[in-house]
Amino acid sequence: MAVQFADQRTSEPRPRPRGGTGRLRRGTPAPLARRRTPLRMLGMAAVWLWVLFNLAIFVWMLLSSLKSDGEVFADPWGLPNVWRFDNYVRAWEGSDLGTATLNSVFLVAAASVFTVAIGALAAYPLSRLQSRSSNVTLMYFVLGMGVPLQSIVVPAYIAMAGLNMTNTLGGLFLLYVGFSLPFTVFLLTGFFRTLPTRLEEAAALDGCSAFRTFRSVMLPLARPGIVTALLLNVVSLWNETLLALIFIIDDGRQTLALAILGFYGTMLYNSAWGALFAGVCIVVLPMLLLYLWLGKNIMDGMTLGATK
Amino acid sequence: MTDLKHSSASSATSGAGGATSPLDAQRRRLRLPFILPAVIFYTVFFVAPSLASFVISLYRWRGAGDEPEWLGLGNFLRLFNDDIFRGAFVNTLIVLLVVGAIIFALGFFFTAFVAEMRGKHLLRALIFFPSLVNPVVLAIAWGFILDPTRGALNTTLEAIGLGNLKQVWLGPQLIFPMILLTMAWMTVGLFTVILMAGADRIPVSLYEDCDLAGASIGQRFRMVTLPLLWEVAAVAAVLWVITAVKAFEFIYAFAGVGTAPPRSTWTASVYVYMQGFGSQGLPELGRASAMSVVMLIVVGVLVVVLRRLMSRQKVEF
Amino acid sequence: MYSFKASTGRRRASIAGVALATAALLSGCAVFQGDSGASTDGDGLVFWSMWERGEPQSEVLQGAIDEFEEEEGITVKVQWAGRDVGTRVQTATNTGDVPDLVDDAVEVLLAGAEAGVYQGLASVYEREIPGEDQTVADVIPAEYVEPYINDDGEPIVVPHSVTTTSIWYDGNKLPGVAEAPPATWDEFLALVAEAKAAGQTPFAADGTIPDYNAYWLGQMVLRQMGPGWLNDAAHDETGEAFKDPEFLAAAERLQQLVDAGYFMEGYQGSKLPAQEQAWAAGDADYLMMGSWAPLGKEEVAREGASWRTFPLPLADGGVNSVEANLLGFGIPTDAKNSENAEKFIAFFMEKDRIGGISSEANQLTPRADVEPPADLVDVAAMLESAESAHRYLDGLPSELPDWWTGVFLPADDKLFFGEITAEQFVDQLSQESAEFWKNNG
Repeated sequence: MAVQFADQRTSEPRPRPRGGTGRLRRGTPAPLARRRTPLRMLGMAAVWLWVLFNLAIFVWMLLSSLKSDGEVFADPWGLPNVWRFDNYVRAWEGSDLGTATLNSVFLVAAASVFTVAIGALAAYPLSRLQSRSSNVTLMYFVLGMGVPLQSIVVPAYIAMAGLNMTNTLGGLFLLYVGFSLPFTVFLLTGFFRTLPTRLEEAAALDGCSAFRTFRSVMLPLARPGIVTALLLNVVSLWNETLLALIFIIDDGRQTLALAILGFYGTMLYNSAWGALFAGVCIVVLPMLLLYLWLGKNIMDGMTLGATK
Repeated sequence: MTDLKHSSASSATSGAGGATSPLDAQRRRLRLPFILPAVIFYTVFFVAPSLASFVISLYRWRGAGDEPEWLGLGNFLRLFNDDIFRGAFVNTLIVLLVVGAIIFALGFFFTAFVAEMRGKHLLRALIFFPSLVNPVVLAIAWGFILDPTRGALNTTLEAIGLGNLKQVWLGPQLIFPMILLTMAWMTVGLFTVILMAGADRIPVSLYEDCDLAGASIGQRFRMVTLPLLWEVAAVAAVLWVITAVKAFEFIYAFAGVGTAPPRSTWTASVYVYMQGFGSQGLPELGRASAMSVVMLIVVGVLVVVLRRLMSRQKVEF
Repeated sequence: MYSFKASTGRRRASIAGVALATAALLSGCAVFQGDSGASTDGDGLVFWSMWERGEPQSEVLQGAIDEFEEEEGITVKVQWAGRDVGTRVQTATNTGDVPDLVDDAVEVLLAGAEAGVYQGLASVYEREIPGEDQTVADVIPAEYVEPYINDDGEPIVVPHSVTTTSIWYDGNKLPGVAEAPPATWDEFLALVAEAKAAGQTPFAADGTIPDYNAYWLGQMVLRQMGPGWLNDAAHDETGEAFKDPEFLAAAERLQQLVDAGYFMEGYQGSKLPAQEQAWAAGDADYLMMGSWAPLGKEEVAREGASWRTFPLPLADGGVNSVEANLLGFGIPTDAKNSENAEKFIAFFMEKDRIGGISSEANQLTPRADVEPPADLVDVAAMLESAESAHRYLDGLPSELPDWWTGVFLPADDKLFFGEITAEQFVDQLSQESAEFWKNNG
């Protein structure tokens, strides 16, 4: 990715704000800067402690998911005596985590894709037209980022009830799209602004329609930004709990976050701790995999909005 | 510092020629059909409900079947006299300030050190990871760690001979501080990464100058990194205000599910949920809305104040 | 721009994009289903239950549902909604999209009924139980249901389980107690003092559940001062009612237990079920709990454990009131198939079916002719011999939820955790109660 942006930069008056080369070149101090003062050693030790602590927590979660129910408490840091992979089966079957996972995957995928699709459509003209009205429109979206979710809960519930859409994933989908749009539009508008205009101009002169220009010129260029927006939506929706908790009653429709809450509830009565941790890992692992796979996009994206 | 000025940039289309170019004309044509879907969805499913909460907050209403009763500002007046709301409101502010302070202190600390350490990307990734995990899951995990009877923390303290440090971590005195600490732990990654991304854009030449001048790491951080990070930090602070005020899941699940969390841990968002949806009695949708309106106003005020406080002469470099 | 194609980052990105888009397409139909899982007109029956899938009660109910579907030809759609079912029904009522049948704790049903969510069930009581020559009213003792009637005088619940709150112990570990449970407060105090002196931990309690903490004071007040006392005091807008010396005496008795260090270390912050399981394992002698205390303890219990219980012993002048809490069926006012719901209730009340609650789920049923489960023989006897019965925490958590969570529980927690004395507790309660009514009256 680094190379492609270096190319573009020649056509742009401004350097791109993100991308690998820029970071490496500008962020790393010269080697001669490294001196081993006590303060520095202490600081580095603290960083390592923190990082190891984070690792320990997740290793503990993973290990606990493979232990017998008693071992979870009796021996929190040891390896399992017997590796109980059947905890995952228990979790998966016992509390409908399977259905809930599917629901979450579908709902999150549909809502993220749709949000990013209409968000990208809107962001494109907003990034290109410097009229007052488009600035106002952008502000209109940006303001939404400041509205706490709980503010929309009551009216949204009443409205969805009127549409007969409470307790449906469809209703949740619409709300997810609604509350994900502000950030998505903000992020993508910023991203589109960093893209060169020359190719569009060429396409327009060639007589391409506006939509065609968008689709075959802008979209390929904007792909990194769009992937980032998608990922950020996936992460935030995968973890969304408040709306799901209020809207979904039917246990066949619950999302993973709800299922794990419910599962946690039954633990109070049947103490299947190992299985609970297996459920916890089922929630965490997809994010971990996504993170290992596309982690740089996620981090870049989360910071894109703030650092520009 | 051209990068940071991006949001106010106006030059993106400067190369497009006059207003009469085919491109410009085309862009104008596509504006409405392109923008409308997002505007409509956002307006109908987010803006409208937000505005409607203002209306609902003026009534006493228990949901369908109940005739809404006009109260005017009655719900708001009651909030001011409501100890629970005051407590929840104060808790929200505590979350905002205390967790915020920890997050930014640690965030700057990590920014100062991690950039110079080997395996910087790995370190950053590990610092960040908790931000990706569902807060419900983290709350469950921390409950297991902190349970005083058999939680991993007390068990470990005992095992390594520090049994006298054992505490009733989830007892009435410590449960809220523990929530604050664990929330900070959970959130610090995101804000560190934001600050680090900002720091990455500081030209290395400035650091080289520092080194030539023989500056210590502390001086370097104070003289170069901090001032040049200021604007990024301001945006991050706004982001934190928004995040803090809506924090719900973590506290909801922290003490356990099945009953209401202990009142001493309620924040405003938890109280909104309890009033509107979570209690065994009748929902008070009007009051719940009034609370969320108050919180919305608080966010608005805080954001404006923060921007005022943190805005200052831009440092050009 | 085509030169960008080689980037692996981009390829990954496009794979992710395609995968997500495919998932979205696949999900299109699933996501937009309009069917909401609630009651529809027709022949079916929509049932939302307070149990989670996998709990014994849900299995007993599922068995009955299967039989019911077969014998009556009525399709039952069941949601194992869990303990939050009450709030869910409440919320669903706001949409008019309610189930036909609910099972929940009676207090929650009653609060719902007062808001018009649940209907009176007099007609269910007149129904004949299939295969038996008697009506529902014939098998459910009237005194159980008496406190739970609506404005029209109709009961709003048909119970399938009865629970009570009492002090649980392991009869195998404490054979002396099993032989002669303490009958008076002084005997009880002597017993615990002795245990403590012998290095035992008398009580376990998971202090992060405020309602459970309130069981102690609740029992001390209601068994001593009679059903309804706490409820009346809560409704006293001056808060003066709490200044009753007998109430103070009850609080002092609790303070006495707390001050003596009888509760297991760390109970203030213990997460359910940590100390409950510690108790089951024999680390503490007694647990103040509902009659579900023995459930789910098989794996953690001390070897040979035999669950026994006695009511909180009375000080002088007590009235021996025992809590009679019910779990049972309610029918929402807006149910579209209430006929089918009534049918199912009567069907479930048949001796062998409701008997599953006893034999499979180890809970007491309201039917006198169903054998109580072995663990609950003491409970059955306790209910039998009680002079009067009180509601679960005197009905306050559901009747005055804001007062309960906002005024009572915080004060009670402080007392229970030893942060304030009984006198301070009474002052705080009385003062905050008055303030509460000033704002909410």
